[in-house]
Amino acid sequence: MKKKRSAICGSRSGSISRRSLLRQGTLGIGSLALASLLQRDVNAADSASRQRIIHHPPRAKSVIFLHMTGGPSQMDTLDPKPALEKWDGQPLPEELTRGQKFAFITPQARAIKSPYKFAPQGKSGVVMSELFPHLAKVADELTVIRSMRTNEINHGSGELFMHTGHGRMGRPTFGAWTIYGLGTENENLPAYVVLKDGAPIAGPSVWSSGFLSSRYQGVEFRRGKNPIFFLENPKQVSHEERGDIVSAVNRLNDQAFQRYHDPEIATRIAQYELAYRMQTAVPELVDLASEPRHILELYGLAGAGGNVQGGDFNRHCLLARRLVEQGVRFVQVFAKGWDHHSDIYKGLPRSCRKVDRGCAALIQDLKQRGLLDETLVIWGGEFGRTPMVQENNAGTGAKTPPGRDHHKECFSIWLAGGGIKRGFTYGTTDDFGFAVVDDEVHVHDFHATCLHLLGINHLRLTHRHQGRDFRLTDVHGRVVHDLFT
Amino acid sequence: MAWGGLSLAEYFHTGTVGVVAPMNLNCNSPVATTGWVFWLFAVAFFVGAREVSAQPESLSYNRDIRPILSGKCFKCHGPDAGAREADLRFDRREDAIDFAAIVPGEPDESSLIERVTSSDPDLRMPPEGEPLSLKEIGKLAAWIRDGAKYERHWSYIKPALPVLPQVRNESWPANEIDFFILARIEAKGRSRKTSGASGGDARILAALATATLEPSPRAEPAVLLRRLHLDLIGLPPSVAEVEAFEADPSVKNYEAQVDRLLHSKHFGEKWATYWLDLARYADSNGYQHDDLRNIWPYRDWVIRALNDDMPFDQFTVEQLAGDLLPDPSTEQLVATGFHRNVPTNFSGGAKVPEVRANVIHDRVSTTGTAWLGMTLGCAQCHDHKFDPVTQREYYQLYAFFNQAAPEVAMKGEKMFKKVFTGREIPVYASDADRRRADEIRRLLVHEEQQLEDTKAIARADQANWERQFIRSKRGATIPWEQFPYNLRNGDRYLAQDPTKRTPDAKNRIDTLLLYDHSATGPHVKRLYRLRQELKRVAPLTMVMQNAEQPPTSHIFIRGDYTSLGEPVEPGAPAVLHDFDVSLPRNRLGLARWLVDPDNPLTSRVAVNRIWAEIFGRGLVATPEDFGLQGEPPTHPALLDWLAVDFVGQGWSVKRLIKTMVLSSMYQQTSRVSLHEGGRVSSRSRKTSGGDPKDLQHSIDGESPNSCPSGDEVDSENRLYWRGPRFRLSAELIRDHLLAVSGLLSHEVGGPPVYPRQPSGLWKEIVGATETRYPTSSGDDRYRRGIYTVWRRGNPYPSMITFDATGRSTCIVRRDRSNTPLQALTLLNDPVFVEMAAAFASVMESWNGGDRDKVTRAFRRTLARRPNENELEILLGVYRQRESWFAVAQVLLNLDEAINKP
Repeated sequence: MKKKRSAICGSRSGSISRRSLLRQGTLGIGSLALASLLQRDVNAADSASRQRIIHHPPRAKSVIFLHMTGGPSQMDTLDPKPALEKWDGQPLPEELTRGQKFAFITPQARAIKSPYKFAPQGKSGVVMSELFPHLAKVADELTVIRSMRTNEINHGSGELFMHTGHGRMGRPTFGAWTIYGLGTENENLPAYVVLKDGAPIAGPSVWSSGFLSSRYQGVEFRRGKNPIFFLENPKQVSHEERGDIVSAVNRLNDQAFQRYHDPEIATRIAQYELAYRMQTAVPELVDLASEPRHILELYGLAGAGGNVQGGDFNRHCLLARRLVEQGVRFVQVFAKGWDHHSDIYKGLPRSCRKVDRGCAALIQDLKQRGLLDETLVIWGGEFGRTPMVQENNAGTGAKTPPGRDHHKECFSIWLAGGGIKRGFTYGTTDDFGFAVVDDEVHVHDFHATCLHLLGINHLRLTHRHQGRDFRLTDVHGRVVHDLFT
Repeated sequence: MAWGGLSLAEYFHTGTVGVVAPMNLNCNSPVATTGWVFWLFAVAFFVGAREVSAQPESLSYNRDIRPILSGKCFKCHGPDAGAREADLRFDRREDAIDFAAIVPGEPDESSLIERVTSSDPDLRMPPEGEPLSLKEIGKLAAWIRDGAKYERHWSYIKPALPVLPQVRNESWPANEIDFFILARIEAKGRSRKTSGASGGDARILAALATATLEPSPRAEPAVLLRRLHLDLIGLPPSVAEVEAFEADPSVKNYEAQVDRLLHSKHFGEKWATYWLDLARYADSNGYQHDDLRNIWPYRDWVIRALNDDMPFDQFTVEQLAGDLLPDPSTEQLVATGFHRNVPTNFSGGAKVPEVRANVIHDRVSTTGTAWLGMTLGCAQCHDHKFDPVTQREYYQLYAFFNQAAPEVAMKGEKMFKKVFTGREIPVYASDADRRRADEIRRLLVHEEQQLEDTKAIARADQANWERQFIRSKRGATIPWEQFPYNLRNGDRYLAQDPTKRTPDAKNRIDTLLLYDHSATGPHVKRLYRLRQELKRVAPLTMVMQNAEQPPTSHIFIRGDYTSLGEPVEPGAPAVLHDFDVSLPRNRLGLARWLVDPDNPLTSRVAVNRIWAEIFGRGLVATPEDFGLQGEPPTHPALLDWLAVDFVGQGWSVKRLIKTMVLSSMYQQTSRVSLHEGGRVSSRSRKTSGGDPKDLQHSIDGESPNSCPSGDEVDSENRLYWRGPRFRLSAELIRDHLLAVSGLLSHEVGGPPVYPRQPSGLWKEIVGATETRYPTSSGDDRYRRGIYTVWRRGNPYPSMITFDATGRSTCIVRRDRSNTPLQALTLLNDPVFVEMAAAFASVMESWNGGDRDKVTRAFRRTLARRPNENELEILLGVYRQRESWFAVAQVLLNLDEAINKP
């Protein structure tokens, strides 16, 4: 089992890393093993570099997926339902709700209207509620999909479904499949980075590589200047000493390579070099203070005296831009606090305020750098919320201010950049915001569509596991060409 | 391969046939279909005839034809009735003939050939994906010409004891395994001679033209002993053990080492890991909440069973059905934890019947994977697309497990809370513990009564107590982890007006009152202590139990548990051996059916997995799939020999492992070098493999010989011309480096431990009761990796970095990745830094000069002696940094340190 492997986290283009290493030679070591390995690769049309899977010309090179965990309410944000004014306080028609699964309410629960004003925005007239004043300014860049649909009504399984196309643990995520197919553009950084202001309920499973190699899993960037576990040297080891140690390790590994000629050893030499470089590169990358003042202001992060201050989500948006700018393929951002079972009219505006500015800034910033065209930005939750009210605490049964329960039959998301139409609204739902009427986009279709933008035919990005060729879209998935420019 | 690795296209380019024909079947060929077939047929015949002279094998359905049909045709023309197109199926000969898709002896008449060669894109098969290659079409045509003989899929035929093959170098084999291995290695050399190579390197080609591949020499003793230690117990040999073996590396002493290690109490710890991956053993429920569960006694049962060399058939029966054995012992009940390990969804809206269906689906597919190497899960929603398993047969297997008692139920009316309803039993480490547990239970009854009797006193005094409690500020000293709320909330409740408190707040204050009041407090505290002690002396573990009134099982239409189809009875798939009428139709019957000597799969699957543990890859490279889509075995006869021998010798796992490690093949050096071993040599080498009694090999000697290496002939070592070399598992990396550093605790078994991890990770588990990671102290920090707590939703990070899994599903093969995060972990994770510091103090404590110390430390890490370059590099580090810590870090980060040599 001696496959040639060489990857920085998700990278698949091993030979590039080895060659660039030779060129750069940070520590000037390991060259013998590497030279020898390169020799081997010359004839073999290098096993690693040919793994990049492009089925058609890609529109997007990278993805920023802003996941609002908990499930935003569609009829309070992107899918206005004036009919609910009339139905407010009454149960929905029985034929609509019969046999439907809900998490905490009954099908007889009463409808509740939205208190928010909706208006067309920009030249395109994309409609959104007053909860997104900043986002409204970039409405002409967005495609809103109102006809999303999923299979799951619980957070854990819903998040898993949104990221892996399957409601249980064990499958690779959209991000993992993406870098499995496309590799990375920057050998010095992980290809798939996760930023979160709180943990999603399914935990690390929503950035897991499932049955793919663990090199395709997302790498979490935590707060602080050393965002990756164990990036920082122990106190007693200086950067210089770390260099000496890594150099000695690699010179000895080079000796081992001469004994065994095992290409895995050459890969390990390269990985130690990369690890050493990441120790410098990553802290620089996450240091937002190096951004000019006007950019910090755009994201609402400009503090007094040149300091960076502000919410995690806005920081993550700026960091996401810096990451894709550096060639990171897939940036997954999680924003917590959208599970408004109770007191939604207090909670929802707060959640929207937290993300509105960051989202708008991210799109403006990507655009002004010419990056928006090649970056697919996705905003949405794992499901939507019911048009019906929830008034009791799920755990204790105590009476609570009104909220909305989980809902899988329809929900709204928006997309921008990466070949997506500008100022466009897709799909229609019924008068209540309960079910899709036209142009349904099931999560599988959403995945197929996003992969298509990345140049991947979702039917052909497969991995053999337990006797079956698995793919992100399972046995489903329709590419929604109507969404493309 | 009968076609010698040459496609027809390549063949033409060599000019051998002298015809230039259009190569692309996709283009609009001017050649009429019949012409195509004739042409193909002629070429196939020609090539075939030429090959036959070199390798007298005709086309085999299993080897040559079925992979094509299965890969390109079965999806729409196979076993799945629901997906079948045109009512045509190729998995059964008579159906394909009825349809005239195959006309034996007449490729021209067979519509199969017509359709795969059609120039009309609407007619050409398969309709999607790559068209068949010329080579594939040629094979099909030749096979039909020869009569289109079908064979049962190899793995469904019961293995028979094969005859040992002839070998030329009769001095090399140490046991039967070596005959099978060597025969293939020698044949590779011969076939090379005649068929040439497709590579471009003229030098290699020239050398290969007269080459024979030979096995590699035996590994040097130190390396061999380290390999053996890592394979058998997962811990390195001491320097003294290495020196003793170097002094006497004879066959006899080697076998003595094997026996010593097979009897080590650490054997079970090493060998349990792969089984626990299959059993998806973990210490938490998985999913949302992901609360901790108590099932570690099952893990210890596996370790014990392996240490005791429990026969694999018994090992099977007790895990699947120990509870159904007559008068089962506690041990036999603990064994049934195997199927209680299923992840269980406790999240808010998860419906109880849905949880049950998921749990049972998992049990079916895990059983299929672990024992049968069958991908049964594929038949959950429809008939299997490739293997002969119908959806009905899937639900017949489901019915065995559907007899089980419910796993979870709602906790009362509130739909939010669920509880386990499955059976739990206490396990005792000793009789003293059992007696103490009985005593504690008596004391508990007594204390509970005392508490009841004094509650009224405390409650009558509540107002007074509240004032005093607040004034005294002793709230800060309360062990809040015992309460469902913390100090801040406690203060908040107390600050509320007693008449305006919610029922919830009242309850919470009451628990605090009873804890703190002088009348009740002593009883509450004693009760707490007794219960804690009871958990320690009588830990509970989850075991299987059947329901008294099992529900009827149905087919789930499209796999949906809410769409019930026809009812089904428990039963086994028809493609395998019969389910004996004397067997009960329950899990016990199923388990006995699995280990029936007539079962063609169980023994093969078991030996293949053990082979993979030692050699890095199974003889069947897809250990999870022995079905039609799996890979065929590289050495089918060897696999069958091992399987038959395994059963014949009473299913002894230790004996099987011993046979594997005593082979000459296992003992080969794993060096992949140009100058040593695995040589493709054009002359006979006296020392190659040598006399097995000649055990001294010069390894470091440089040879000027520039023969191509075995690596160039077979870089993946599928022929086993060199020893196994691959990265250790996550657990073994930890174990090995702990042992080298001198920190390792050798204690076996017990509750999970909590080695240091980055702080705050468990706080991120949403909805969990236990969010504090109780970092272990003392020796428990240095226990082997197998004892590290396994929380599915948030597994120990450095283990995941080295490809351990979340244990959410049955895992047969772990990946062996190689990433910079691994480098950062070994360099900077405080756990590994602590190991380096400990190793450094060991070095400091040694007498002798720097050179001696470095040599000794090197041998302690890698067993072998350093060469002069290696010594100089390490001495250089010491001189440069003046620190043994730096030397220790270098050693613990070496590629060799985390690889089996």
